[in-house]
Amino acid sequence: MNNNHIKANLALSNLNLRRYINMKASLVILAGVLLAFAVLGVVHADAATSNVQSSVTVNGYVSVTITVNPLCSGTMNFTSGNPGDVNKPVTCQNVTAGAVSVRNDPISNGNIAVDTTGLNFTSGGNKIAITNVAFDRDNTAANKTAMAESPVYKTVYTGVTPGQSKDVWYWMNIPSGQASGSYTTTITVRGQ
Amino acid sequence: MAAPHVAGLAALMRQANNTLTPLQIRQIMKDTGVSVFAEGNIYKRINATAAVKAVMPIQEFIDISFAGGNIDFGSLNPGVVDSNATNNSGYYIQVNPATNVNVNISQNGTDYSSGGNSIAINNMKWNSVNSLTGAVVLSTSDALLYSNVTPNTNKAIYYWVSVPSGASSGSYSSTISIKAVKA
Repeated sequence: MNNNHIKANLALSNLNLRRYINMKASLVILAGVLLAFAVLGVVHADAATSNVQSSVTVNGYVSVTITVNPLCSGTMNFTSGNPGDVNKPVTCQNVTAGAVSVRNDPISNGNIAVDTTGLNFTSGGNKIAITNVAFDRDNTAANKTAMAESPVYKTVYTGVTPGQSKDVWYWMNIPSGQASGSYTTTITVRGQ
Repeated sequence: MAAPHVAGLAALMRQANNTLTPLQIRQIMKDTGVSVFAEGNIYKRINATAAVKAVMPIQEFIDISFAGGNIDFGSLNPGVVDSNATNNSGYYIQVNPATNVNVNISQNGTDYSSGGNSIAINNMKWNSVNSLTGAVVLSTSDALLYSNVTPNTNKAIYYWVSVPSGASSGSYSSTISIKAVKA
């Protein structure tokens, strides 16, 4: 074997060694890739789910319906009376229904309070103080409360729940010596 | 090529696809091998990368996403009926391009909750067009939205909600799950 043969054999051995190393490296890399697929499970997905959040904010909300007793025909009338008369009822109220009904509508999501106020009665230059009118929560006038002049409200009910209706009865005193005449005023009922 | 290399490659091929027979493995090694010329003959040298790729089964893959952000209805009063989501016209179910099968898409939702209060998910509706005509009520069970949707497709979706009378105030949230399965 001459020097040229020896050099050729050495070159061939080096080439085979490089091929062997390259092949071994390829196998190691492939094994690593397959292991990663097996561990991560990213190869196969025959179903997919996407979750999304949905949100809505519900406001605090009350809806109130205030109705004057239909028998009143739209006006709370204490009819005619004499000076010194006490506890004159609104003509349309009775044992089953007050002069005014207040309903916290079922749509509401909070309780309400019901309160009332009014202006003084006037007739020409004469007046009757609103404090001569009282309200009650039944038809007995036993526990009536005197009204205050607007803008001061007096509470009639608290904690009226959605869907609940409450009635208000009114009573009036005519002061002694009160001048004759037709007196009018505005009474306000509020639910909130 | 050395027997240990061939044996190692065969093992990798079986790991990639365990249904292969020895004859199939040998044939695939030949088919994917690299031709080399030596001593006047043409031989095949195994190509490990090509051989393993050749036996890896192409599996079904489904990938979807929801575009348009959260489905938010803003602030509403009790009793409001069929209020549209704030980003209606901006919601899409995307069947992403990586998907390689047609899919059926369904959805379900959890009831809205806020502390101890809840609003049933059936107060929510969806439609494929921006109209309440034909809108469908959601439920806690899967209901089909779209059939046989091809990969790389966007499907528009629109939502509405009603707030029951008397629903307590608060910030409510729900999770809508959109699922795609092979058609």
